[in-house]
Amino acid sequence: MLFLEADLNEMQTREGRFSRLHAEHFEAVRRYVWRRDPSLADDVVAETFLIAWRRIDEVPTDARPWLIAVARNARLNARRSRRRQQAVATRLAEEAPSALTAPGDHADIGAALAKLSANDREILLLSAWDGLDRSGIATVLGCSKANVSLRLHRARRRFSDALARQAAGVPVTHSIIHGGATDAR
Amino acid sequence: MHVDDAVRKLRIADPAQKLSPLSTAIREQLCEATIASEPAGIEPMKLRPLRARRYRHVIVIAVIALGLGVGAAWAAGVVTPLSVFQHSLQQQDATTGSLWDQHVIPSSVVAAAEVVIPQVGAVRFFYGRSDEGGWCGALRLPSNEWVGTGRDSHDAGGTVPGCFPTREAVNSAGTPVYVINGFDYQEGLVDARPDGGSLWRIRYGFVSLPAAVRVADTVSGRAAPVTKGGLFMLAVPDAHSEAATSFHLVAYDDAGKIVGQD
Repeated sequence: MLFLEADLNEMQTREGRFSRLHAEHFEAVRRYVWRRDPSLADDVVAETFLIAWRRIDEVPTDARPWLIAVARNARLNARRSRRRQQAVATRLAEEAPSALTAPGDHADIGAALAKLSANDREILLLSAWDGLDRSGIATVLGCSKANVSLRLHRARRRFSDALARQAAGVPVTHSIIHGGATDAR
Repeated sequence: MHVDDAVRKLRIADPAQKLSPLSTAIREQLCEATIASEPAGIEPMKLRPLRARRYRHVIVIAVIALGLGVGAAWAAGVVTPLSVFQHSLQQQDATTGSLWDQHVIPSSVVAAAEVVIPQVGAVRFFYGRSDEGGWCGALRLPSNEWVGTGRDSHDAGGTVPGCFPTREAVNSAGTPVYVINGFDYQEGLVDARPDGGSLWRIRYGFVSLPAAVRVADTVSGRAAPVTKGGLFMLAVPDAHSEAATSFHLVAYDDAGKIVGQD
């Protein structure tokens, strides 16, 4: 099979663009996955960039939210697969980010995050740790910027409340977190 | 606690702050492996409208008419390492099932080693295995052109990239032409003389000597590590380009003992 001269620039452009994309965003994507599933990080990051390479013409100029959205889907698929394999009874969606569950200097933060719903936690961490703005978060989660603003505002408030209670040693029940109420029982 | 204070504490607690970034070399290797895994540039061609494809046919006819020839057209389009091996010029005109009818195993393609040539930059050795038990090798210049295709001013020739039968297979197929000593490699030439450098002979391939950890040329004294899978890439400057300088390749184990020589 012969390629045509006219395809040369196209192919080199793709390869060059992917190389730049890889250099610029690899660590951000790796950190995103590692914070949430350290054991899956290598596989998920490899899968993410393989998809980016296959679909290089679809990757937007602001690539990071797009890549993180791909990584998020790949991570969730991998977790579902692992969950099926291990037949665990626990609800993985409500696990705290595993990088924070180990004892460390920020146990109170980890405990407060664990009190949040998975949706609150994800939107909060996309902002605070992954450094995405509202537009980027909207790309990752597939919702509108207005919706992100509202959900992020609530998640920040709930996290702040959970952290304050953590500091005060007051337990917070599951229903309170999901309902957004401020009273502890 | 104020919301902003809580979020500030959260930012400080980012566990990824203790995650060391991968080294540039490893990250680039992962990047190369992804690019080598499949030729992304081919798929969109299939999706182009018929009119575009017809237009491209006109272009290629014009290119051929201008006398650029099949080899140049091949070299013009083949970019990724996998593509280089899949469209191996070594295989051209080989009858089906013949010794040179080698087909690369896509998942086996790796960036095996890299050597920085002064005045040129990093030259990378890509390696793969073939379904027929042979191997594939190619040297890529910093310009992304391939040594042996004549498309870069630093390319001074040598083995055309592609897939090869092993020396054992060549000997088994007819009159033995190789001494079987554990070495199997090709040679590419990189010319940095126009930029004030040297002519470099780069030998790349593998050693089937399990204990080998290093390959050296005893004439020049230059050495290169043997990587996982027995792969090596050894670059030696050649001061006598008109008549190739002699060389003597030796493989050492980790105790410095000679375990094979070519």
